[in-house]
Amino acid sequence: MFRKLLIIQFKSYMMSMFPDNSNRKRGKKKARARSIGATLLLYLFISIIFTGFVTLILAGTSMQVVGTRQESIIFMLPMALAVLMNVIGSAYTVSDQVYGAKDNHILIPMPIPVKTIVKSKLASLTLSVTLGSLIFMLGQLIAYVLGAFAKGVGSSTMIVSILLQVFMYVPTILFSVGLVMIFAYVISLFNLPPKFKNAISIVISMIFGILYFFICFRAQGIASSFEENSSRIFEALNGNWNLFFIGGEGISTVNVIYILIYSLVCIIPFVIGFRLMVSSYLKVSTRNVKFKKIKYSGNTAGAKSPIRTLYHVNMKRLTMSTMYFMTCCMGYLIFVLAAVALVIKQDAINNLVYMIAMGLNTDPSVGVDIIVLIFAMGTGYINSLSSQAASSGLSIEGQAFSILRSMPISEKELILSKLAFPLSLGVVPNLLLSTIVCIVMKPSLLIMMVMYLLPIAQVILYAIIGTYFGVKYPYFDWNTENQAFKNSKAAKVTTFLSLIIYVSMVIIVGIICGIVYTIDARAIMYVGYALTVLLIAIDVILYSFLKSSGRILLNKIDV
Amino acid sequence: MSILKIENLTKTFGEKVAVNNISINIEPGEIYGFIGHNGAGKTTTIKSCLGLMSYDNGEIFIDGINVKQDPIRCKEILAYIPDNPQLYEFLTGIQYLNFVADIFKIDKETRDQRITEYTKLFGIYDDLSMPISSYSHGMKQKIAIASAFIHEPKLLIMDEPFVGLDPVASRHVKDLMRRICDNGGAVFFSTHVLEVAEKLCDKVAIIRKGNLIAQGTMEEVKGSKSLEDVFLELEGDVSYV
Repeated sequence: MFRKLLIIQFKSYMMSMFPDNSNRKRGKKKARARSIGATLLLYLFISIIFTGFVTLILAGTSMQVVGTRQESIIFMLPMALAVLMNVIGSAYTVSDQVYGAKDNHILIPMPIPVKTIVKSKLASLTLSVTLGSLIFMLGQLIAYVLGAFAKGVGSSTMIVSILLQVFMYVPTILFSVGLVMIFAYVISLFNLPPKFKNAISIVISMIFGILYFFICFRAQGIASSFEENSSRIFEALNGNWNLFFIGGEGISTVNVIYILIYSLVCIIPFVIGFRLMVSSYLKVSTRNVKFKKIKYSGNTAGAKSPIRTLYHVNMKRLTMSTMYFMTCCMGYLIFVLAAVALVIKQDAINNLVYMIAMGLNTDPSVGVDIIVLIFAMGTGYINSLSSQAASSGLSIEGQAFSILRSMPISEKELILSKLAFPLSLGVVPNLLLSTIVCIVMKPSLLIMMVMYLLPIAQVILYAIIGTYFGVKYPYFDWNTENQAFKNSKAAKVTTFLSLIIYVSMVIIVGIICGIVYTIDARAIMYVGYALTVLLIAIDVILYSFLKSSGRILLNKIDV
Repeated sequence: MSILKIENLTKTFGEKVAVNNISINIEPGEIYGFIGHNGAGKTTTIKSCLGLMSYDNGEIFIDGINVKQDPIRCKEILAYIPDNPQLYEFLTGIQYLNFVADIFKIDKETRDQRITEYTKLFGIYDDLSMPISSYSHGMKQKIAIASAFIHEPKLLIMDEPFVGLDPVASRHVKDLMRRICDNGGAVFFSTHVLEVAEKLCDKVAIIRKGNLIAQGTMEEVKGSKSLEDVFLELEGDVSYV
């Protein structure tokens, strides 16, 4: 019975992770195979970018860490950060998929032990996460191998490092799943209205975000203390314990003991979380959602324009759905945290400015402007990842889209309301960060304008891209919100394309800056000005394209 | 002028012909029933009228306006009630009704009066401040119906409107349907409940596998038999005792 349930649950979970997105009745197998392939490629790509990006920031350069017996940092820190950033969101997903699963009302009345039901759900969840994370690990391995080849690390050293990290990966996944299950249990204890859940999510994510920045700023210190401590312990124990040495000296008994201890420690939260969810499943999944009875007082609202009222509905959905809220807004929390970090770490930033200026043989004001330009470009990473709010704008309507389309709403009004939504989410955090950067850094006037205009231009760019693909690849037959705004074809295409555009932009601008620097370091600013003007022009063109083609695409949608 | 005129409508999904060359004419004041087995093409026809679905051939006119050429004007005078209304569950009842009123550009005073009238009629007035997610299926159906009448449509298109409604609410819906017709409008609805269609409809059309096999006034279609007998005969699944 457990095996049959596990297969059904696993299939169901996989189908929600990889919907066919086709809205067609035929060719579903091929469509699903394409969906799986595209999703895996996208995760792989994000993993490589994320690992490379994080490693570059945390450890100076990945080449600095590779071959120094601290390869753990390349694998463990991004993994730890991914766990931190995803735990709270995943907890809500797990809570929905276990306690709120649509098949609960079918399975519970059947003569199946309740424990068997929930164990099958949790087992399929763990299996799915483990398989999915292997793709993430593959990306990490690729980033590591590239750095190792560049560093000239020997193949035997590389192989040993990789094998040891693979062995440690599964316990790490179990640790994160265990954390998620514990959080899901805690969330389920409190039957809170959505607004409270959203507020709690913000607070917990802020805490995790602060930890994230703490690890970022302390990474060099952590890496140094690893090196220092491992040397001291090695000396003190006459070289018998190689606790921190992984790779480069073969797999020793101590490495194996280390892995076993690590695995045992990681499994503890998994076991605790598993048992908590099993014990609470029946009570929570059969619990009635309580609503406070409010009697209508007869006060209708004043009239609003169709665009405004559609926008208002989108915002209402955002505040009432925790998963949707977290998907759309969490990325922008990093801006808020970055702004706070800037204010706190002002001295470190000033030192960095001085170092850059010295490195470029120019005065500190140029260093300031360059740092601000880097900030302005850097916001594009979060803005590109936040394009899911735009790409899911139409799909999130679900079956309600048929009622919407039966109303006298023009295509233009619908598209504009969908475009306004991600714009309004992105503009405020970007403006906040820009203001803080300008206050702290005090750049020149023109660079100040770039600091405001460039991030906004990027917000608009990715919002237009997301809205376009959201209309081109709508998906209304979803069963869970995740399918609409994370796993839909529109979300995958938008995320992939936005990342490609952003990475390409960074590379091209970097190359041009490198060339321009040889002429005059100050000329780098002109690259920033040109990029800003170019992006604004692209936004204008793409907006016109969206209005005209969006109308055609909307009319082609059969509901 | 017909309120709803469907001329030679054809819609295919790949090789399957969902609707094959059907023509329907609904005059002002008529309640028009549309009956057929599951998968006969009723919903496809209805969705084509609403602009929710493109069609391969034919034309559809609502109050003389071509649905393809000026869909917005068509939608301004019609209202649609689906069989299983998927409303915005995160909104309260009143928020949803206000949303619909905004789309149809109804001023505050008028919407106040109509919302009060229809929601009190269906007994959901006191629950308007509750989220739609807390409503039962019947209550959701009632909100959907109230939202359809809020702009006093000329053409009411319904897909299985009586599913999930209690007898009192069903009676109110029938009265409202008749009121629309008395005011010069028309109603076009699909149903499986043949007794209701028999009592309520002025005209009826029977569709089978995408083809219209009978249409006309109730007397013309059923004659001296019951509508159920006629339907089963025409569908070809009849065995009399």
